[in-house]
Amino acid sequence: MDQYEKTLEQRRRTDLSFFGRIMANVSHEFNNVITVIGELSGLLQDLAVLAERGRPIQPEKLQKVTENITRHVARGKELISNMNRFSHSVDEPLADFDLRDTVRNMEILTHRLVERRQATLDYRQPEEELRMLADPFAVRHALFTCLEIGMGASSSTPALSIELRPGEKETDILLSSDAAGNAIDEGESWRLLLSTVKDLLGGRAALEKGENGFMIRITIPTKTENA
Amino acid sequence: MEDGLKVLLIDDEDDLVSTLVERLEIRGVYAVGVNTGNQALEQVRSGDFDVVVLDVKLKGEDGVEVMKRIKQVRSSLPVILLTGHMSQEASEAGFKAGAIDYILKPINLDDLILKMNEAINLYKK
Repeated sequence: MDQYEKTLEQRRRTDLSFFGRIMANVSHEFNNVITVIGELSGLLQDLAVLAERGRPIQPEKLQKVTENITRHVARGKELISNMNRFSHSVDEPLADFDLRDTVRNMEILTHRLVERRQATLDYRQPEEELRMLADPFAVRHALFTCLEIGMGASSSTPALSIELRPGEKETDILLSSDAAGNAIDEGESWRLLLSTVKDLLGGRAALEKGENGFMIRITIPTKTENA
Repeated sequence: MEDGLKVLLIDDEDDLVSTLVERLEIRGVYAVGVNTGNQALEQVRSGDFDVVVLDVKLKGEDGVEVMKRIKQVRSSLPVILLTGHMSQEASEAGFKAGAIDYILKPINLDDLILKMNEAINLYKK
């Protein structure tokens, strides 16, 4: 295996690992959704059995339980639909997409990971469409790596925010954190981010450290050069 | 009916905890549900529970670490781990840290009650 093949193999493994982590996280959350729905429907069965034994069912109780079931079904549906969009992002290495939706897709899929880290993620979605021609999977990978770097910085409850700044030829994705800039790990994750942004998206990434936190700036061409 | 059984449930899914508490109470089990490790410790310190059912993945907390803290307060309290997917390594780590059993999500309530009773009986011996 020559150096090029080794690099390619490494890239494949890294991408697969990212894909696997997202899938594992979503399957875990989906299992929670099924579990809650199972218990709520079990409660309805319990109430029916009690009614058979003479204890009247309160209509407002039934209403509350069915509303909860509907809410969790919607939660599951949102997860599945976003998982599906994520899975299809590997279909084409170059696609036309709205960056706002891509970021929202990752926000939903990483929600539990962010919560488990006791972090918060604020995403201010621009009102206007932000069309891009790029590798949609690589954009997701870069966003995820950014989030990991942000969550990994030593703050007990990191407050993260994502902002998109569209330009004529380039678009900036900014991830800000309230964690001290010197706490950021510029190791493997940072190298992975640089490689994803440069090699797959033809862009660049920069780290800006400040007194009140740090910001990762990903700059990618709105249309990939070889498109 | 499981009269007299007192269980502490810990899971960060609020609707799961409240529904399980309600379903257990219908079956005569006294149940208290909480969402965090710190709330669980408060309950263990002040309550007289027979068994704990604890989710291994809490928001910002490792359930096994929470179990260790519970065991520091009451080492004789049996803990059953609640998990979505229990790998061999994870179950070994859980048992090593003091769990008496585990149950997979989605939950079979009859199995859970059976496991709770078994756990209590084992600790009595």
